Amino acid sequence: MAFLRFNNVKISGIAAAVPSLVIDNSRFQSNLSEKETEKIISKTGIAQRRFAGENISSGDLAFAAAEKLINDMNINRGEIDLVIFLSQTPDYKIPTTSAILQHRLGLPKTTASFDINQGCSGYIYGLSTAFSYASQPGINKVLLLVSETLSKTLSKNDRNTSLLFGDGATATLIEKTDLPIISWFSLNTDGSGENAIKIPAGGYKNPSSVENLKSIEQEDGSIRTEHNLSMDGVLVFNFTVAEVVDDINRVLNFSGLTTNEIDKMIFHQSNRYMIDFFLKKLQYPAEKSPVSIHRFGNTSGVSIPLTIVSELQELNSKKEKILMCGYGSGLSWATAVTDLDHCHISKLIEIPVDTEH
Amino acid sequence: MKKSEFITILADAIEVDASLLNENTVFADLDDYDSMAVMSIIAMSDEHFSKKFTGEQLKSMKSVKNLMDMIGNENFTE
Repeated sequence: MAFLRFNNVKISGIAAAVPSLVIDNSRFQSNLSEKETEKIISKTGIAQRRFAGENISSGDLAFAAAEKLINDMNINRGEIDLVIFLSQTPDYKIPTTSAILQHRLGLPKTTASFDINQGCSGYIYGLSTAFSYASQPGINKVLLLVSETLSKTLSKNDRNTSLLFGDGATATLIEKTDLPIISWFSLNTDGSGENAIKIPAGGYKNPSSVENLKSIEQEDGSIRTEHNLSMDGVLVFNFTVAEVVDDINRVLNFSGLTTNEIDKMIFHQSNRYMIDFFLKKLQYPAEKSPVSIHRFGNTSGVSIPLTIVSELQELNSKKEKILMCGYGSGLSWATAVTDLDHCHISKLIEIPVDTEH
Repeated sequence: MKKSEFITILADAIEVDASLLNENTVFADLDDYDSMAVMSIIAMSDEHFSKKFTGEQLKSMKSVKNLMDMIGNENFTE
């Protein structure tokens, strides 16, 4: 059991940046019929998404979110002792995007940095890492940057993914606190589901080749290369039904809390139907579970903090106990409970996309 | 659960007219049967029978009869 508990660390600020280019799913050109498109929009709740376009990278979006947070909170850059960049669409294979951002953000050379490759469970994994480092006496502030440009991995003619994913980035500041905040985490893995969400080529097991860059028609009529994201939506849904509610109950049991004591539950924004299923099973009121999926689609590990920024500005001025749960590629899933106590939540910013290119 | 009640719940879940469904219905023969309908079947089976499936079971599920076997025939009465 991978359970973690912290009683001296808090999230003290969150900012988010999305590209300005709005993709309206009802007008998106794919190989789905108009009726199929409507059904997907209605079931998943994904009406709009944001695309970064060719000229904006995950690192660029993360830089914008980080600058916003640092400036809004007047953070002393010299006190940031660790920067983590968590993404499955990093700027380069080598070096880490976190190293590039250490320099670009003007952080000292004494700042530690590393990337984490994790998908939709990533925010919880990243937070658990940030909390662990922040517990150390030699670490003041940790900057956790979660950023994705999954639009760049999509085939617009893949029937399973073309309407679902969008781009965005968030910056979260984690540091020690004297406030009585206790946080609990549960982290899980099932690698038997490695093929459920996958980009099969372009790594070193299956390096880029002329062959795997060819668009191939699949059994279901989808057309994609092996460099495009592929997803078996049924397998993923089946896995979340089997695992997510059990993990939430494990964390509640571990923390001694009940759902009545949770002020907000923030789920990874993958599919409205899935979120409604969890809420019904947990008998948790929908009005206490903010949703941003209609605006941004599935932004992988970005979606939980993006939802806090876009839907929970009220938390700037009060204290609430929140439960967050992420689930996706790996397969990997994770749940956390913590307090947001007058946490600084920046206004969402938009990064202009040059659509001429 | 009565089989007739199950057919009504299943029809509601996959958004087809209940008169079009019986134990021998092959899902692929239904108009608009797609991956989202399979998700609805997964959710319905969990909600009403606390039944979870493996990926292999879902891939081999072709008919209403298959689904009832997967849920377990002891759960159904005439």
